[in-house]
Amino acid sequence: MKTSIFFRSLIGVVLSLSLISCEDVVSVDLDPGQSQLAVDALVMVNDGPQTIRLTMTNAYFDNGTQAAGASGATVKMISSTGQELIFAEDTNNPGNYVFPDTVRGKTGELFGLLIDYKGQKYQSGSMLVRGTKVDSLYQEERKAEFGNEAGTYLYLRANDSLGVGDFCWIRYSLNGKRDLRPGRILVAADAAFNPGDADGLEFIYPVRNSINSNKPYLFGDKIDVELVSIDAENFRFLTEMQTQINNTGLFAEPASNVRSNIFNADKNSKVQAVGCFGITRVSRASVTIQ
Amino acid sequence: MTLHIKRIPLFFFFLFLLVSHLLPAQSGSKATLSGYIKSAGDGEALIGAGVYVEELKKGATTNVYGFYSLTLPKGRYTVKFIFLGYQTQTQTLDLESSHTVNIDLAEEVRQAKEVVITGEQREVEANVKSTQMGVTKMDIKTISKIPPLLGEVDVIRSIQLLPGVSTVGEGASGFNVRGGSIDQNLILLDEAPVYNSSHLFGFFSVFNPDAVKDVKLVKGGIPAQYGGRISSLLDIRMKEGNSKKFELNGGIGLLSSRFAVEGPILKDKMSFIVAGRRTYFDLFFPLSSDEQLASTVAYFYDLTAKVNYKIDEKNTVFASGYFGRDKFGFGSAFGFEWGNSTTSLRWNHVFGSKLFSNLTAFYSKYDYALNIKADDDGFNWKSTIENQSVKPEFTWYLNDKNTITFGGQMLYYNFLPGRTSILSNGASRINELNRKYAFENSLFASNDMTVSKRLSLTYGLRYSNFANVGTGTKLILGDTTAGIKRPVRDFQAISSGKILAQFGNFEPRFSAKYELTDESSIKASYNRMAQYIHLLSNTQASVPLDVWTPSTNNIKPQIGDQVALGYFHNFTWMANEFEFSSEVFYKEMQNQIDYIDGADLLLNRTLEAELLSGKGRAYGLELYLKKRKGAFTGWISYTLSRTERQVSGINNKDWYPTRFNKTHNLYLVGSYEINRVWSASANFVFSTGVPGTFPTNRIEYQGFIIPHNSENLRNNYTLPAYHRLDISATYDPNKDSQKRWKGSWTFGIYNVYARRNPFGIYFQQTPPSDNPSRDDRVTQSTNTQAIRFSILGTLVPSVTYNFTF
Repeated sequence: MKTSIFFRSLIGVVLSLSLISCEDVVSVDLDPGQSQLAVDALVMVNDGPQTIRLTMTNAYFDNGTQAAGASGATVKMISSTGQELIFAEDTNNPGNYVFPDTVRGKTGELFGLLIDYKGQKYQSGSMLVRGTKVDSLYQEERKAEFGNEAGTYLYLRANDSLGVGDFCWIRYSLNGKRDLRPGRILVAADAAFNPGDADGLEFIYPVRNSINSNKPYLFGDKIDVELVSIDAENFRFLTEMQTQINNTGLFAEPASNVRSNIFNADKNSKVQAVGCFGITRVSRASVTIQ
Repeated sequence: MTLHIKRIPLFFFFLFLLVSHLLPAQSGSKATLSGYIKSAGDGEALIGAGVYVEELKKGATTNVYGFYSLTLPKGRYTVKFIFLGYQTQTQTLDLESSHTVNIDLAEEVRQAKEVVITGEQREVEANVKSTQMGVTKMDIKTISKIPPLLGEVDVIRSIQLLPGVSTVGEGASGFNVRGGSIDQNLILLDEAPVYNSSHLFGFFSVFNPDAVKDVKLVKGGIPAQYGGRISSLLDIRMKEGNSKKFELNGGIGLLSSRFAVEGPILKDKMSFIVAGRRTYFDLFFPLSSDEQLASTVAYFYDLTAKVNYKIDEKNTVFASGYFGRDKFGFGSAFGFEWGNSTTSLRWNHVFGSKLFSNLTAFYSKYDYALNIKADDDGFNWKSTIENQSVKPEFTWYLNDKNTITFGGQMLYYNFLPGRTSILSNGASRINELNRKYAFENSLFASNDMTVSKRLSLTYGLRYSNFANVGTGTKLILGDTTAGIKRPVRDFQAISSGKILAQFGNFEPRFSAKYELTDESSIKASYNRMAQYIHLLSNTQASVPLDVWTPSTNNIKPQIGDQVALGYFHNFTWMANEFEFSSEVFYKEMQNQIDYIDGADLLLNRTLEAELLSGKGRAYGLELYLKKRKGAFTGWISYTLSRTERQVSGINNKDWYPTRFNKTHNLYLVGSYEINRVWSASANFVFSTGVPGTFPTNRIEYQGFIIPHNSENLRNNYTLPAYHRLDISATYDPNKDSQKRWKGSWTFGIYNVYARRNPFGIYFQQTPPSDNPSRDDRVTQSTNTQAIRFSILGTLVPSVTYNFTF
């Protein structure tokens, strides 16, 4: 077993540069900043009642407190075909604004979001895209390699349509619980990561594989996958969010705000909202690991 | 632009008119002494060696090829040939007509006792006497004394200990000079530019110390023959190779091993050097029974080779090459590699005794490639920048008052910003971002003029012209709105040979020296520099994937103007020799590139739409005190400076400190010869922390917590200070022995007191447990925390065995 110690020490040398780096939790005093209206509006067509959540931003280190709902706003959605959809506040959940029916729309239809809150009018727009469908989920047994443990892994199959600009947000739940780890924000553009690079192809391997972590799924696990088709602005918002909430290490980018697509109707107003509005299509598939 | 081109001959005409009236009416009463000064031990040309004429109390120094030329009234003179660390040679010469005197200087016998510098040496000392300011030279002996990281003697890490130079941290590639970004440094290896000076991301530099002779960093008053970058020139000269005898040098360290062979091919006429270096821990991988490890690839290497041939007294040719590469991968499944290669050919020719010429032709390339391959799926990506250039340069030792340098350079660029091919389940797509082609041509002339015994001037002008040419695509963009990607209005095809964008700039250079006494002087300088190619990098430390891009209709050339003022003083105190310099500088930079928030720099066809353009300024004070001779040598360097930018769309258009802004930088470097076999070195570094952008608020979106700064500020905090102590000791038992094989050991500790210097402070959601229960595998807390990221979390010991045969 001496050889294994020898090799381990060699790996040690290889990795020494990454191993000698370290991260420590530190305490930092931050400026409190200004609380702003945050819009969380991911609206899905053909998918039953829809909720838009409005909150007021908290201080960054306000741990343990959920952001307070922004109550008393008027929220409605209009569209280029003349639809007007009113989102009414849910009295039991202040800050949640609900459209009780199914939202319908045509590919290419533009939707506007109008919010009236504390004397400020905010607006945003998003376009309904044609959407990409989940083709299938399939299981595969893998041996241990490249830092992944041996076991059952799951792949998401889908085909991108020809034409540049098909964007997706891939989300999944494990046994009913959505994976909300920052490292698991999974987005795809035209079957790959960059618009146009793999246009019209089947989702490329890293995208197919993206619903796996380095640990295998276990027997009996139920995985629900959602392929949310989004417009270019929402893709931009998500990629910026992906960068900013995972922004650490040697090659971190300068921290910057994730740019919102919500604007104050009064261009000169100092009061601005944050967050994102998107009109989307969703395609779902589920599997239980056998 | 045709107008610009027409103006050039006119400019040279006036320049020569100006110079020619300085010519003495009669040159019959004068004669020229010229030649080469070399080291007697190995035949290496000595750069900056002095020639001092006792009777006239004046002198000259050798150029980078070891050549000097000195015009004197006819007569009999005592001439001294001087170089620090070498025995001075004195010759009595009857100068009745011009003639050549080539000198071989012998190295000083080792002596630890203090040596008082003589008046003649003073006369040729660059610190006080040279007109140039903002210049620091480091020979390889000094560099190799600095305590190394993991045993690797490192050129770039060494210059980071000089005043005005800083870095954002270990592992960050490149260096920052007087508030400039890393792409604003022109790094030349035997005249050929090196685009990425880093191995292993940024931990080590690409230059093999065994092949390096001399390193010169010019921070201000940059001579007219250099251009293309706005902040500094790092001029690295390779050894020519021992022309007297064969020599092997090498070293075995924890990380890499080095080996160099040099020797004469034709004694005193032709010599060569070949030096290689490779990390070697990966060579053991295939022996492993672990399949994964056996297929792991992780190494870097570099190979440097040079041949020179002295054809006759008037002609010498040099050919040198560098080839370096970093490779990482797992078997055939994954591979990532990058590297530079340069080749340069040079021809030195002396016309008569007063006109020295050098013709350089070089080829330089930087490329990277990323490959992922698995059965029917794969991805590969490559990018390159290639260069060809011809640079004729002349130095005309006109008379004892004027030395004129003139010439030109033609540079051709070929950029491949990115080419990807993707294979998905057997079907493939290839995407190639358009290649870009450009010419950067320049003409330059300058004069080193001795006005009086005390006053001398260097003034010159460079004209540079950059043409981005077809085949290419011109991106027509709409106006900039803060925070939003510029709208793309049109893609215009530019056919082969047609101009996409063209720029011309006159770049005046000026410096002046006034000697207050024989030991002290004041100097002033001004220079304008233009930079036409830019490294697009939006990460804290530059990554090998960063792309160089030429100026276009949307990316204007960077222009830098710098003024500097300095006081220089050499003195003896308590029988110790010191060199002191202090400089203040102010620099303004136009068309600095920044990025809209969330800009996507890689493989982006409309990248130019995500760039912002702004102003930069930097100013500071640099103090430098050096003890040069004796058992103890070393220096103290202190820099007080600020570097800022103002960009529409960032920080509400207010000035903000750049990410490499450090208010205080203090470096202490010392080396002590304890006895005949042991020597010790130490250095201490203290600097103010770099700035960081910290959030104020959190946004909840779809269950994720996004950090947000409600004032949209950039770099609104300063990280805690950086400080570090490194030590090393060298045991060299055979220093004075006659044995051919001489070995020595160097032991070092980097970051002795194991300080965790912050590279960055980052904000994130509290990470989930590494070993969650079955039910908690995707559970994520919405709590947030700040983390300090340190590149070195501990001290790093090293041991190296060096040998020479």
